[in-house]
This record gives sequence, structure tokens and C-alpha cells, in this order.
Amino acid sequence: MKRIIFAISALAMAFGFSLEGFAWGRDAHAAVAYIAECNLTPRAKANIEKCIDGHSIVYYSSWLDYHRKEHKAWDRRRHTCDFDTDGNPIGRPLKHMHEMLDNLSNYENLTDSARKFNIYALVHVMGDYHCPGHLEYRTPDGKTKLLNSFYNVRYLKEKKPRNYHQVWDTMVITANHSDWGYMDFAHALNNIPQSEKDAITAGNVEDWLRDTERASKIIFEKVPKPKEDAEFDELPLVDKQTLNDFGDLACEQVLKAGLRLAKVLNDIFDK
Amino acid sequence: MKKALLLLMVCLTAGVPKAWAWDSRGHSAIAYIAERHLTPSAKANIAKYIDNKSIVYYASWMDHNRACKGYEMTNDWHVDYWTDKLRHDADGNPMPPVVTREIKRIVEEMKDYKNLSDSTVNVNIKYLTHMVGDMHCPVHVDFPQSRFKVMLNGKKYSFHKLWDCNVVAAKHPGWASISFPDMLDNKSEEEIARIQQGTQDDWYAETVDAARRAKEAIPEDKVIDYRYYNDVIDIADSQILNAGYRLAAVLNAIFSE
Amino acid sequence: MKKIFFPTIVAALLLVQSASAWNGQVHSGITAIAEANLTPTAKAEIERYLGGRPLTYYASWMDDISVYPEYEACKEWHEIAFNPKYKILAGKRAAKSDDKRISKAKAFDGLKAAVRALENRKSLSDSEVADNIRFLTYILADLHCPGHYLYTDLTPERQNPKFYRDKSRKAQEFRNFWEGAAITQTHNWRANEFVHQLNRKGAEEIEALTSGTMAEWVTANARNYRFVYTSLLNDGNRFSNTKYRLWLNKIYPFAEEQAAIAGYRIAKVLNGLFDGGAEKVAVTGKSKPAKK
Repeated sequence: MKRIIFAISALAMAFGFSLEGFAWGRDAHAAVAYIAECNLTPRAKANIEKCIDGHSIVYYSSWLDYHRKEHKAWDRRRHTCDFDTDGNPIGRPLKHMHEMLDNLSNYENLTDSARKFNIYALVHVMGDYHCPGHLEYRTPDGKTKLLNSFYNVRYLKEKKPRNYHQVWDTMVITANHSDWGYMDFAHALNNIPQSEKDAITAGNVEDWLRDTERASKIIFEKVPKPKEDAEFDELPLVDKQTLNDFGDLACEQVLKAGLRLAKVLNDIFDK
Repeated sequence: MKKALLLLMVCLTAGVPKAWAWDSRGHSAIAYIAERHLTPSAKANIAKYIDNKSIVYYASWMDHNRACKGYEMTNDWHVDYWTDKLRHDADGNPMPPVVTREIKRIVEEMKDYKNLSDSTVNVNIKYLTHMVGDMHCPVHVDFPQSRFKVMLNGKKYSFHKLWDCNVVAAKHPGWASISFPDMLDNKSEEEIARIQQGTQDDWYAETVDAARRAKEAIPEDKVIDYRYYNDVIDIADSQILNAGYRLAAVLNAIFSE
Repeated sequence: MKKIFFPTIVAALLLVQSASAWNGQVHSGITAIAEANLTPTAKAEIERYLGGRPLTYYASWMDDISVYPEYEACKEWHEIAFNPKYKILAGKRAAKSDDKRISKAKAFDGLKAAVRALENRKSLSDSEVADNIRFLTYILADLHCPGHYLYTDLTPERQNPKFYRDKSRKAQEFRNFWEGAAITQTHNWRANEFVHQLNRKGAEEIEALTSGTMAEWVTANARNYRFVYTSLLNDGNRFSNTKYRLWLNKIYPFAEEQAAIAGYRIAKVLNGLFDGGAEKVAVTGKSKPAKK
């Protein structure tokens, strides 16, 4: 039994995740970008696509993951999302987000490549910052890590520990929707009334990040961090029910990220 | 054993991003097709009960929750019988198939859906969306008889798994679930109306016939190759399509105004 | 029961992955792009022959039926070979080659036969017409897969180098890489998503890409594609994951462009055949000079 599971996960690695472990999988990032695209005004969409060689923003939704080695300066943007213990966003990630938004608000004066890279990065990072597995609590000065998802858990009935971060990276979003492409995600999620969309996109970036923290901290409550020297049996369990709940949470976060991405892009490019 | 299988299914769907299966892919396809044929009022009424999500979102919800607390009883609803023991009641009379029994019960209950609690309506929509699909899957009827092995390219498979996972996946690689209506939904209004006629028992009988044909296409020695997929893909496609049309009929009958 | 499970999935994956040429995912993507560029007349006419099904439904059909003896010929309609002067090696010449792959590289003959059959379709049954529509679509897609171009002056090893990923001991074949991974390891698009992402060219660009004869298309491709064997890797190369990604980053935009071009060209050929009002594409011969 163990061998089978091991083999299956090895296979999964070989076929699906052979490259690098990413925050959200590329399907989720594509879903975020596509939901955003569906909520762009025609003018904003046309303006953005003019900046990125006529491609869709979906095309670049995982660019930051794939091209980080060629563009090391941008690699730093792929990041955990840092909070203090009161749930306020802090530190570099927030700074980077503002940097990108500031750059783009002035996009007509940027060089072609700076304009592109800022768009690629924003499209990706808005997704990352909504991924519950990316939450990290730090001391208010941002220097000391207090809690993140890098700890071992038991996953379903597997007999070997798994990194909780990996569960979020690779299992949660695809567990229940393995057959979906990005258009399927948008179809299933984007149909809420405009009033609900407006509620989701109200406020500013800090509010959205606070909302991510509020919605996502449950992942540390349901599956708490074990003590350092915990035996396998003492590790917290991610069972099927938890996985289902997290799957729903992940879909909600994908929707929110997409709508909020559309909001900032409309604000910048619909003029 | 059942648990072990379930667990494996979980691992598979969890770990393999492209795990193609009749279960998730086929069910999404059926929900998409049904959605296209809902009346506007039915669609709007249903959306109210499922958080404005698409029924596609919940197409495989029953599979994801069959092992979860509070839904243990639903584990047997997906197929006609799990074991030979359950085939007859205490007096030896044959029992009705579980899947149609449950669908009929829910349809009856939903006639009065406005007086049911929101959460009951919600879960009943999830049940119907999934089970109308299941009752059209050839290996979900006549289950004990489909528990035999075949040899495909020198390897042993269970007939059930061949159908659950492989037939649609192998023949339609690269389709998103959202593609299925464009690919399959090409019947005229009259044909659709004809397919939507009949009772759940008639539909079930048709699936039994499809299962018979799926089995008959396997030679005596149980050795098959890719040609088998070519031989039976029309059965799979038309079962998916019919399930979609009929799911629409069932939901329209309940929710249309 | 336990034991079956693992092989089932492996085989399911293998079945899908082992299809020669572009894999099913890319074929449906290319065909969906072609379908999106058919004229309404051509689309209706084609779907009538295909029993009401869209063209994309049959994107990988040629793979599926090559298992039958009566369709055995199409096993050799995946690849194309060129001599050092970039002349297409005709099927009969190719058959004499000592290189096993080249001896079966008769895709262009298959394409010619399908076009000829469709030009004279009045003498064919509907199902024969349907067969040839599906042949043509598949072969023309394959003729835009760089891994399917063979050159008589390159050794077989040079044309299918093996490489290794990270610490893996399992050799990967260059040819398999081109069949899907070249695109899908970066962009895991489904059929309709290929259309959304790649069907974005303007009328003028499409016109430029689809002018000329089919022979001119593949000859230009042959020149264009040769670099995949000569500049990027050697037999036995070992890639670190980083190096592999950097290499892939150079490949995928190129591969996607070929998929898009294939889609436009399939549409152009089918429009010419099935819509009297559309421009016809010749297989060989001299083309009119492209409009400026």
C-alpha cells in the first residue's frame, strides 16, 4: 500500500510538478488571471494587451515562476505574504505590491520592458497574496518568522509525513477539480451578482490582505503546527473533510484574487 | 477494501493534476450540458440555493464527500448495488436499484422545495447533479457483473476502472470540461425532447443496455487493445449527452416557473 | 484490486502520452484554432460530413484508427524528411533510406493524397470524405511539429538525442519532448484555451503566414526547424532543473507559434476546399507572389 502511494506521488511529481514547487499551481494562477480578464472593462483590456504584445494576461500568469532565473530582480516578488500577529500586513511583500502599483499608475512613462514586467509580476503576485498557504506571521519589524506553513502533517492515510506547504501548493486546489482548465474555474466561480463583487473589491490593498489573513488563518487552526520533535502519530491530520473545506476556501480566494486584480487593472488602464 | 480504493482515488485526484476520469471530468461535462438546457427561471432558482455557483462546481461533490462524516449513507447511492447480499429484500423479492430509488425519493421531496430548508435544497441539488450522471455510467449499473478483469496492452485492469477512468480520458485528451457541450451537444430540439421523455426506470434500463453493449464489445478471452476505446466511445459520449439532457429535464421540472 | 490501480493510471497516462506526433492535447488545441478560422460555409459543410460533430472532436482521430489494418498506411504519415538542399524526400525515395525513421517519413505523401481526394470528393462516399478531412487536419498539424522534421545529413542519434533531467537516470527522448512537453510543461491549456491564447493574429499577419503552397510551407519549416537539432543540446546532455527551465523558456514561445500557424493553415486549406468563395491552396507548384 505504502509503495503504491509512494509510486503514485512519484508519478505525480514526474508528470505534473516536475519543475519547481510553486505557490499556487499554474492552473490556479491562470484561473485568477482569467477571472480578472472577464471583469476588465473593454478599454482596460485593450490597453493592457497593447502593452504585452497582444497576449492575454492569462498567458503571463505564471511567467514569474518560469522566468525567475532570467530575471532575478523580479524573483524577489514571488513571496510569502507577511503579517504581524494582529493580522496586519507588513514588510517587503506589501512594499513590493505598492511599488508595482505605483510604477503602473504611471505606465505611459515606463519603458516597454518595465511596463511588461510590472504587469506580469502584478498578475502573478495578486494570486500569490491570496493563497492561504503563503501566509507567514512575523514580528512587527518583519525580521523574525513566527509561523508559516512549512511543517510536517499527516496527509489522508499516507504513512509518511508531508510538508503542509506542499499540500497547499499542489493538493488543495486540484484535489476536487482535477479536470478543470482556467475557463472552467471562471465559469464555476465568476457568476456572483455585481453587488457581491463590489463588496469583495471594496477597500484598498491593505484591506484585501487583511481579508486574506482573516479567511486563511483557519489553516493554522484546523491543522496546527506540531511541536518540534513530534512523532508521526502526533502530527496533525489533513483528512478528506479538511481537504474539501480547504478546496472551497481556495476557490473563494481564487475568485477574490481575480476580482481584485481586475479592480486594480481597471483603475490603472481604463483611461 | 472499499476504503483502500477510496483512499487511492483521493490520492490520485489529489496528486495527479491531469487525472482524467469519468468521475470528475464526465460529471463536469454532464453538468455543463445540463446547464445549457435549463430554463432561465430554473437556472436562476437553482443559483439562489448554491451561492450563485454553477452546478458544475458541485458535479463531483458527492464523490468528494462520500467518505466524510454525516454523508456515510450516501456511499452506496452511486451505483445500483454494492454487494450481492443487497439484491433481494427479506422476502426474496428483487430490490430496486439504489441510485434510481434515491433519485426518485429526492425528486418527490423536491416537489415541495419551497418549504424545505435552504440547506436541504442545496444538498439535494448536489445529489441530483451527481446521481443522474452516475445512473448513466455503464459500469455503475449491474455492478457485481462489471467486476471482472481485462487485459489491455499486456496489463490487467478492472473493467470498472477502465470505464471510470480511461475511456473518455484516452479518447478525448486535451478537452477542458467546458469543451464538452461544444463537442457533443448537437441534437435537434425534437431529439432532445425525445431523449428527455420517459421515467428514471426507462433511463436506467437504457444504461443497463449500454453496459451490456460495453461488455459485449470485449472478446471471450478478455484481451483488448486501443480498438476497444474506438468501439465504445460512442456509448460513452451518448451516455454523457443523454445524462446532461435528462439532468436538465429533472431540474427544470422542479425549478421552472 | 490494489494492484490494478497503479498500472491503470500509469497506462492511462502512457496511452495518452504515447500517441505519436503532437500529443492529443496539442492536436485538439491546433484543431480548435483551425475550427475558429473556418468560414461559416466551410464549417457547416465539414460538420455535415463529420456527422454533426465539430472538427476538433476528431483532432487525434488519425492516431486512434492507425491500429486497424485498413488504416495502416497512416502510421507513416507523421514525419517528413529533407535532403541537404531542403528538397522534400518523396515517399518512394524515403522508403529506400537506411535510417528507419526516414524510411517511414511519408507525411507529405499522405497530405497530398488527402488533398487530392478532397478535391475530387464527388466520386467518394461521405465517410471517405470524412476520413480525408481528418487525415488532412492531423497531418498538417504534425507538419508543424519541429520534432517531426528529419534531415538526411543528420544521424538518427542527432535527430533524437537523449537527455537527462536533474539526477534522474531515466533518459528522455527529444522526440517525446516535442510531442507535448515543449508547450504543455509551461502552459497546460485545453482545446478552447489554445484558441483564447493563440488565435490573436490580425488579418494581414494571417494572410502572410498562409500564403504560398503547402510544399513551400513545409520547406520553409524545414529551414526554420533545423536549429532544434543543431544548437540546443547534445546526446546524453544532463540538465539541472534550472538549466532545463532556461532551455524550455527558449522553446515554448516558438512551439506555440508553430501550433498557431498550423491552425491558421489548416483553416486556409479547408476553406479553400469546402467554401467556393475562399482562396484555394495548391499542394506544390509555383505560388502567386504574396500580396504586399
